[in-house]
Amino acid sequence: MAELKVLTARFGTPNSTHIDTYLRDGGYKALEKALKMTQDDVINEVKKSALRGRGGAGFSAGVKWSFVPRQLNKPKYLVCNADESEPGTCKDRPLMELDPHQLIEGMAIGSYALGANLSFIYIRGEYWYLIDILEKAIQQAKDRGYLGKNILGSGFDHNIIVHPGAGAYICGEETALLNSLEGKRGHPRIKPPFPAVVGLYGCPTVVNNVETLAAVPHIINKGADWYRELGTEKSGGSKMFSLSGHVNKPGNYEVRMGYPLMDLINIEGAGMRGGKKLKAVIVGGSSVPIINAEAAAKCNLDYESCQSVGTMLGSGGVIVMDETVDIFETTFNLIRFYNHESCGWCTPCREGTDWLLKIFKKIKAGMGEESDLDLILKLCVNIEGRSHCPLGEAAVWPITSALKHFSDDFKKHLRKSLPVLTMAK
Amino acid sequence: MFSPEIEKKIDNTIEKYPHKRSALLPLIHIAQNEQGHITEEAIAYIAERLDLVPVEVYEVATFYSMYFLDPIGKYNLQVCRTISCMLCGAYDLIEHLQNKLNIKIGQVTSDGRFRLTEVECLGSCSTAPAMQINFDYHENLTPEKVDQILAKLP
Amino acid sequence: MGDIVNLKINGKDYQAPKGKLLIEVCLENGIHVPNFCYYPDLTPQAACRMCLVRIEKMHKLATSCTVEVGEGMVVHTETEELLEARKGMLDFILGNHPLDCPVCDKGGQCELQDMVFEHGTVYAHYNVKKQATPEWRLSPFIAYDPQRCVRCYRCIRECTEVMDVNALGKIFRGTHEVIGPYGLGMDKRGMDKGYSLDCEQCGNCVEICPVGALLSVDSRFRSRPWDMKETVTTCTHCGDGCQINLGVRGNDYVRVASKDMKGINGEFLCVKGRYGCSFISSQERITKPMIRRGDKFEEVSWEEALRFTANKLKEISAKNKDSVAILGSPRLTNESSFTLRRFAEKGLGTSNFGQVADSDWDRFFANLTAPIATHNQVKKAKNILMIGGDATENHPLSAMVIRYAVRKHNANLMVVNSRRTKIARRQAKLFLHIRPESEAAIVAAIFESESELARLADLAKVKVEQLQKLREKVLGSEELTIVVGPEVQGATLEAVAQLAGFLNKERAVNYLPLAKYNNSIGSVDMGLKPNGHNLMKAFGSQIQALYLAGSNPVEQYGKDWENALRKLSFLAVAELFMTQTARLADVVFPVNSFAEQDGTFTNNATQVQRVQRALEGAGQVRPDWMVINALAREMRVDIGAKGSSVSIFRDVTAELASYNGITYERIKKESAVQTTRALAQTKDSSIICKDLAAECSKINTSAELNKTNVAQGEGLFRIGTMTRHSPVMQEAFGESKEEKAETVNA
Ligand SMILES: Cc1cc2nc3c(=O)[nH]c(=O)nc-3n(C[C@H](O)[C@H](O)[C@H](O)COP(=O)(O)O)c2cc1C
Ligand code: SF4
Ligand code: FES
Repeated sequence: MAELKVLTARFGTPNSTHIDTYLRDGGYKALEKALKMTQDDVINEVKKSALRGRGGAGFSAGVKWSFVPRQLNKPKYLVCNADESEPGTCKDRPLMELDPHQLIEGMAIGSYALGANLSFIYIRGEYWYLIDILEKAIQQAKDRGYLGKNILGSGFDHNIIVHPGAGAYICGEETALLNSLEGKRGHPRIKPPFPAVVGLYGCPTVVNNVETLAAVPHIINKGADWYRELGTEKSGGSKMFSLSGHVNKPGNYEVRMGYPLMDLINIEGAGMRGGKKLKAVIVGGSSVPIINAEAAAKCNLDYESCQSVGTMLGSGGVIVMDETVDIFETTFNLIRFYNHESCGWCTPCREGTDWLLKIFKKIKAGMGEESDLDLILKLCVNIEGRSHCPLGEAAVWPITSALKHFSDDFKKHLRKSLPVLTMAK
Repeated sequence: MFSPEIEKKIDNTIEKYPHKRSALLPLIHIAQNEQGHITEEAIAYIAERLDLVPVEVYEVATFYSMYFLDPIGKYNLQVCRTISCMLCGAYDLIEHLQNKLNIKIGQVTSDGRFRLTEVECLGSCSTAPAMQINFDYHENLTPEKVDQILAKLP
Repeated sequence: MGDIVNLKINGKDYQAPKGKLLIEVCLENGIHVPNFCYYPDLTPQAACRMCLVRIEKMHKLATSCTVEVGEGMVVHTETEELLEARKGMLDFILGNHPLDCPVCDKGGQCELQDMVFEHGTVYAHYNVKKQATPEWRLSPFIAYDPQRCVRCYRCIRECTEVMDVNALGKIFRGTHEVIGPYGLGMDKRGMDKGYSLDCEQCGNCVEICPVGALLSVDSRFRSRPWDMKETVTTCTHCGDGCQINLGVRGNDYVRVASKDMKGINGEFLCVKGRYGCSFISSQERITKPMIRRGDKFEEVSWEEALRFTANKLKEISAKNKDSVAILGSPRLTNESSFTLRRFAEKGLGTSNFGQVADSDWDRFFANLTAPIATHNQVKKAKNILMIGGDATENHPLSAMVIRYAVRKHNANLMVVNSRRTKIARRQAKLFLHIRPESEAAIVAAIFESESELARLADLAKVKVEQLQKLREKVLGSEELTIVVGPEVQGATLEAVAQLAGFLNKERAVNYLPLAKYNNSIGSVDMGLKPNGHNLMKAFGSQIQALYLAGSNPVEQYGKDWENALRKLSFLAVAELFMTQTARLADVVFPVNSFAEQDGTFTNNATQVQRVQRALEGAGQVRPDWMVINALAREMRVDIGAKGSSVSIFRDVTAELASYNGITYERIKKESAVQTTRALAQTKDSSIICKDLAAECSKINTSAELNKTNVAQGEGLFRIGTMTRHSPVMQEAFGESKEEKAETVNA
């Protein structure tokens, strides 16, 4: 069994959310240790661990932390991104539901390293029931002196506020998240300046995914080398993958970085449902290019390998599709998603996703023509690289990749072309 | 305009943040949970509490999909329609619910008991298909299971 | 200013200040970069994506409206790739655009039209249905057509950042997003159930809209832009003197616009300037001279009216020259005011002349110890002391430039006011909320020794610490702009004018007087002292005849004036409308509005600006100065009359030192030319203190603070002699029909 139990170690344990359970397993020892280290040492340790952001972009967590101008005379903030709204991804949910203290400890260590006295968990509003779990855990941590004033006699003060979102995928994007946290609409901000310099309330801010922060106590406890060696050279550690779709045992699985995709499907996922053949996989949540069975066979679950087969590791939402799936239908589903979730700020995404959706609807209604597929590609070019935030790109990659690998699925919906009038040039 | 407990909760929420405008989303949640949907009175009240003008509250209230400007019935059935749930039968579920309740998506049953909505990914991809009834998750659904769940609702 | 960086754009070398926005560098150097959401002075958005450029070493196309230039930057703005990208954006925008240019008011002046024209064919032929959205009427003034909207958010930023009104927002999300006020799209409130754009109705959002999405309702479907004649002239509604572009079709008013204007106000206007000028084409204008016969007015020829008036004036003045009075107004042009004074002095030889106004600006200028600031200078002010006045309501441009100074470089604004004005509530760093009519105590606190502070604070009912802080800031600031409101009068106003001298010469101090009317300052300069209320007391006794031009004191000041005017044996009134005052007259002369004549106004920054004829006066109307000239001729007195406004103005500049060197040509070139004023001697502060002490003793110490906030529109929406006759203003703010009938019958 290749499954690892680092982040998920306590998942089966009764009463896993209680601080006593956590302490019994050696909880908050990492915080104790970190508080005795210098801030730079903590950051360097995380850098060395090759821990890369688990929210999607895969940026080195330690490097991001080092961008914060700690000497600046302004408050610093750490924000935990618990918006988890990338389709196919549901891993942060159990991390908070089953082991909130692991996250709290990670946040405390991160905040210490950044010099932040207040941090936030921005949690999607739909996870309402988790707010209670998190707040209870925060209270327990406060009661035991792991949060609040002068933590463990170190002179470091730290508090956590759980902040609910209200239904907007775009608020997973870190700057949109910050706007939302400031009580505004979730429109992404102009970068630069980056949040590490000008973030929440105009102050230096680091935004990290739940899973990223949950890994931090382990790195401090057992050392950067130990952590990195769990995974590959460039992609350190273990990672959670949300396996969904046509497998026998969908679920959240923690495996080492670099674990073969097919093993995840066949071993953890117990193979394809009904013994059907694999047709396609989306490896990193809906925003990454879809790959076919052939590419899936060559794909390992780390950033580099994914890239080599034409996709991305993203947030680790592995969506498995068997031979019965019509890729036109799944792509239609996704463009509808992105159109619904476009924040409306910039022209290409607001208008482009709308036109794409309309053309997909037209094809779905049996009115599509060959030329519509060209038009789709043309629209995609118009959006990619020209939108204000990556959502625009996220919306077109599923389409361009689907058209590349599964164009037959699109063509079978088209009607015979009728002569059309073309516009004068 | 709210009960003393709710007012207290609102005070605490505002106090928690370094800048009070940050309390906007939580406050709209609180008001909506109290009143079923966002009322004009609530908008005026929240604006007043946070030193905002009503349009600033309104801008936010119309941006997020969990906020409702109209009454949404006693049970808001929010079926996830996004890819993982779709692969596992969400469309059939939605069809089933439309027929069963005799309403279309976005409508409320005439007795005001149910409203049916499609929502985007609920973060239940590995336990698909899923739906939320108000804030409660129901997962690994089948039409039969949905029937049982609805039957058990008070 | 800052570092200069070298950069290359399209292969050519340029230099620019480090940190400047790339798009601004391009535009200033004549490199065309299309844009919608970029707008000077508003926060960058990067929303429309029209301004994409290729910057070498950046992996994606960059929005030039957000990128700051840096050393060694290599930029391309005209490559094939960029043209394709821009076409792509246009394609998206046009995709759902209604393409109803033939019925769109913006057609011909539309940035989208221009941009499409420039880029040629785009491939917006999706062959699927557009998303049609209805038009919304947001207010009596403004309508919004979401389908034409390009979501550049200029309007929202104008409303929040420039105007500080915050009435517009983004409603709904994504493809469904629209721009609108609170309540837009909210089913049960529905926009049809009353207007909900709760704002100052300045219409700057309309002006700034690149397309025909936001529209002025009053000028809709009245004219295509190329079908009207536009004339740049000076607004007549307040002392700021904004430049307006008055559009006329045939001989009828169409609209006021300010697009791309370069005058003191740029594109800024307020509700009155933008929507309050249509009175000029009102059907209720008087167009023929009239003589009273019993209860009725009878239309007569000019000859008859003039002869009748000349005879009356001669007859009354024969006994005693001073029994004839001449009163002008702060609204007439410099040329007319100057002619009125000449007529009084040379023609009639009366010493009873002046104007109906409640200000003491003559005393202010007689004591002035520092130069007057222009609005542009106020924008750059570091410290602003504002004593009295409610600029937001009564001097919208002044308010805008003060807000600008605060918004753009965090100017230290100190406000002393007996009312809770918006600027005091929202922009002031220090607000001394004083007891009504106790400005003298605050001014005294600056001149007096520190030991007096407690007593003076008590007089004005403010905290000593606050007063202390104000005093320190005023005494300690290297640079100070003093804005003084119209309620500050008498010795207090004189003391304010002396303050700069008192602060000593090394400091850079300047003043902005908030004079109420469009030519308050010019009319005083022309020699019409604001002494009308004094002269009024002699009506029926020493004064028997009055020639009253451009004033409606019965409406403005009420019964006292009415009673006084009734005591006169002869009253001639020159007016645009049959006002309550005109109704008491023996003879009424129909005169030109500002839009029908040439001339000049002098604004509250003492800048002379042109009034230009935009249309012909209807009927037999004449400019005020021409009526006076004719009257003088009829009376056979020589007043050195000149037959054109330009030659009168030449006389003005010859006679008045402060106007020396100003010509119509120069004004044409510079748009506004500031007069130069001789500064007064600085008086001994003990004299000033004594005068102020006298003023302080008049303070009613039992008066309570006025705690109510000044309501939005209190001044802006006030209906007056002229705005009453602007249909859209009347619809929005006017008296109901019944009220109107009452005033007419009164
Ligand atoms: C459209 C969009 C949606 C995103 N959604 C999420 C999300 O739901 N959760 C998350 O952690 N990161 C999300 N991200 C990534 C964040 O912007 C950010 O990179 C991340 O939170 C940083 O944390 P990490 O470095 O720990 O991964 C999203 C990014 C984009 C562009
Ligand atoms: S790409 Fe543009 S419209 Fe889309 S979500 Fe990002 S900012 Fe908003
Ligand atoms: S002008 Fe730069 S994106 Fe609009």
